[in-house]
Amino acid sequence: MTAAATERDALAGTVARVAADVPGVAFLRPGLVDLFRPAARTGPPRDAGRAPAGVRVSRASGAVPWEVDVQIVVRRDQRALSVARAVRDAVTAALSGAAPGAQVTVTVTNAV
Amino acid sequence: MAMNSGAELPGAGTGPGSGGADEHAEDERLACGRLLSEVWEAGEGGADDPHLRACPHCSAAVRQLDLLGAAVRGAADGGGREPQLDAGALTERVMDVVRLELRPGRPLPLGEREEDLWVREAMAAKALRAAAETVPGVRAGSCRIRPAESGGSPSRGPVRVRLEVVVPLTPGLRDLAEEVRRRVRGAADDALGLPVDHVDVHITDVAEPAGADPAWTDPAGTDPGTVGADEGNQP
Amino acid sequence: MPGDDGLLAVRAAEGDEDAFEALVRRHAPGLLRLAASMLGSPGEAEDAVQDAFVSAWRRLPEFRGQSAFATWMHRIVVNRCLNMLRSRRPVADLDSVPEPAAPDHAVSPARAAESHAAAVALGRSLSELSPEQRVCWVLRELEGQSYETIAETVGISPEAARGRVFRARRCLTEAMTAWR
Repeated sequence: MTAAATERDALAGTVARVAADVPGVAFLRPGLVDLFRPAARTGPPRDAGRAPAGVRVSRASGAVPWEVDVQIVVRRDQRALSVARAVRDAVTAALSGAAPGAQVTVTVTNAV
Repeated sequence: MAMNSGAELPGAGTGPGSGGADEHAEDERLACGRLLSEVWEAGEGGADDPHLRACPHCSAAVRQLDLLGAAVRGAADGGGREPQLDAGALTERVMDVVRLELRPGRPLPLGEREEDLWVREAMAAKALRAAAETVPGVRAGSCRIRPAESGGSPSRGPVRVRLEVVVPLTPGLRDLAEEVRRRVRGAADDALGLPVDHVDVHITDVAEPAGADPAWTDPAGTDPGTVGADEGNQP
Repeated sequence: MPGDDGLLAVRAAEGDEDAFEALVRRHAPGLLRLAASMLGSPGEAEDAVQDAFVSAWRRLPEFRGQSAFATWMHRIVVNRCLNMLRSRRPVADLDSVPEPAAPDHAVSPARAAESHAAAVALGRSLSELSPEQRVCWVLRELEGQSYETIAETVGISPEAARGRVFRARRCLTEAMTAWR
């Protein structure tokens, strides 16, 4: 694994952990692996450190800021915009040291 | 209803396997001269034919069919409780597959123009339909949400909502549609944070109130499709 | 509520999986019974109905409500069952024919035993019908459908549907007479 890939995975792990802890987030948009687990419907993905679903971290080159894409499922009684903003702010703050100026995109895909 | 004779069937080219003509070749003429297929049809249709009741051959044939029906229904009833339980498990299995193949739809912009926050159309539509259904008696169907202005992809800026509803029969359809529109706008803001430019409410059907004559037809001759709340393009 | 079905189908077509779940919950019991009577096996019936619903979810965006959702779903299940019957090995293994459960509302034990045995005889002779005969007969006998509707569902002429139902009835009444 290259150093860049390692750095990217570390960032993605941080993003997943931080985003999942934001109040109002039910879980990150589950990927196939998560859905095949029993009780995937309501439970948060457990292996949050490993290639988390719902998080994509990329950048065109080492000279530009990272682009972070987070897909979340919110709780039904929460305002989508408020949760999305809280996720964006929490992720931006968590990355301020390792990835300053990261562009954070948040998409609310569903409510449960 | 007369049975066709084999001669009237052109080659029985009706699909794989034996065709109609072959089937009828197996018909049987009862001792009284009637065709078994005709007797069964008459018996099944509850035809009031004195011969059917009087003739021992015909009534025996009809009784055979009745016995068959009784055995079928007996078998069906006997297994009728277990499948109830299975239907619940089946629903879960079907939905497990469906959740792997969701159709979330296009991303729609949340919040201010410069924010990079989005909600998927299918989820937003669910919230807006639910808001419409807080008006008593209203049921929501199609809900399409599109960018109000053309431009970048995905497009920023407020959206346009087109909602179809079935409403109860009331004198004030226009007021009702207006109330639906108001609640949809409210939910777009309160539940989602989705800036909305325009809400079209289309009444696709008017449901008679519970207990009313189901054969009710619109006495005023108004076409429900033309009644609706459309706020035009003003902000 | 069939009218409600239409609304739910439109929502499901637009990606509302909750609406689809409501439809599945509503129609699964009836479709399971239908598939079980066509296939004679609860396990296979569950497979057929599950496949049919998944297929319906995928095809819903093209479903424009030309027919009622129930009719559309019914047709998908019937075709699924027909295909499963056709792919069975031509010679039915009689030992694998499941015994239908006995009805529990029979008047007397003797009567119950009689109808139970009749149901077993029926199950066996059903497995000897051709797939088309079996499906046409179930639609007529259990669903009470017209020959025109059966013909449309199975993709044959009404006259052929009528013939298949007749032939199935002959086979089945003969088998039951032999048993008696």
